[in-house]
Amino acid sequence: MKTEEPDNSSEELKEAPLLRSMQQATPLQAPDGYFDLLGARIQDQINQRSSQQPHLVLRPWMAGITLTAILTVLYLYIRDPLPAPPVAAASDEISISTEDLMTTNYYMEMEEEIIASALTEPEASRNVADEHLEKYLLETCNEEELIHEL
Amino acid sequence: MSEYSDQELLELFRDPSGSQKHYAFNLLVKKYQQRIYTHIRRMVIDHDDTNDLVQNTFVKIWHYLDGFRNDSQLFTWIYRIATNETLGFLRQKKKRFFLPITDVEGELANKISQQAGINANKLELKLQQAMIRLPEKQRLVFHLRYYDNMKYEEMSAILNTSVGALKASYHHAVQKVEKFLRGD
Repeated sequence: MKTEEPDNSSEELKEAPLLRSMQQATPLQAPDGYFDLLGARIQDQINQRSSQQPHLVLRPWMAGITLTAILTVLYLYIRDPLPAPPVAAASDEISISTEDLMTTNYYMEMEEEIIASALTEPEASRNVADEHLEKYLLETCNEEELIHEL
Repeated sequence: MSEYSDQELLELFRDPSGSQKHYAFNLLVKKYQQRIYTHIRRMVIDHDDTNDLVQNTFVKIWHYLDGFRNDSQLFTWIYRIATNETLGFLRQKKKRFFLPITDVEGELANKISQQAGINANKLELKLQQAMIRLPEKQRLVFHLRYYDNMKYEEMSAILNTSVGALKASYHHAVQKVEKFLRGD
């Protein structure tokens, strides 16, 4: 890009005689031999970076998001704490299975009559109950008491 | 090395067999290393910082050259990567040390006189100090035009700025630098 006769010296530098008079060569030079090894150093860099596994780079914005999330969770917890855990009895009740009941002879202890009444038809059971009730009332109560009760 | 044009280097680099890739890249480094080094060094002054940025620039070129589309010239694309690396480095430096711009300028001005590789007379040193006082992008424009005599159209492709804005920026930079050199 640098030419023998730079065209920026004429028009653009006409009001800058000091700049125009200078050599236009940068005084900042690389150390001797620097460019001889630069290509090899760059190849080393490429090989090194290729062999490295990609890793997570922590950035300030990541820390900010994490901190905000933690503070939000803390705030929500303080404002509206989590409900108390269920009591032990409730959890025990849930944990009892049919198998457990069988092994503790729960079903065996149920009275035969209860099981039998549960198996009869609802209509029939109600009629039987009414008859018994009527008989009981007639046998045990006189008329006055019955009227008073009603 | 000069017998290879950018297009030839690209074709060599993209050779389907892949056997020429490293060779082509090595030629590309040889072709551009001095210009890229000087371009970066003028901005960051320090040789070690420049060395890191030059290497980063070429590593990025290696990784992205396969995807380079011929929308622009290869050398403007390379300059753009180098420029972005440099501006990013300077921004990071200010952020890291919470330095105001004047302190960064002062640090760079001190480095100018301390650099072992420097070879300048009094007026040239003063010129370096004058350039340090320019805003970063204006300094880039000044370097590319004053030292490299780059065409505005090419600068426009590198800096993503209109030609008119670049001409105006260079004009103001020349006035500021000349004023500093005169000691006004």
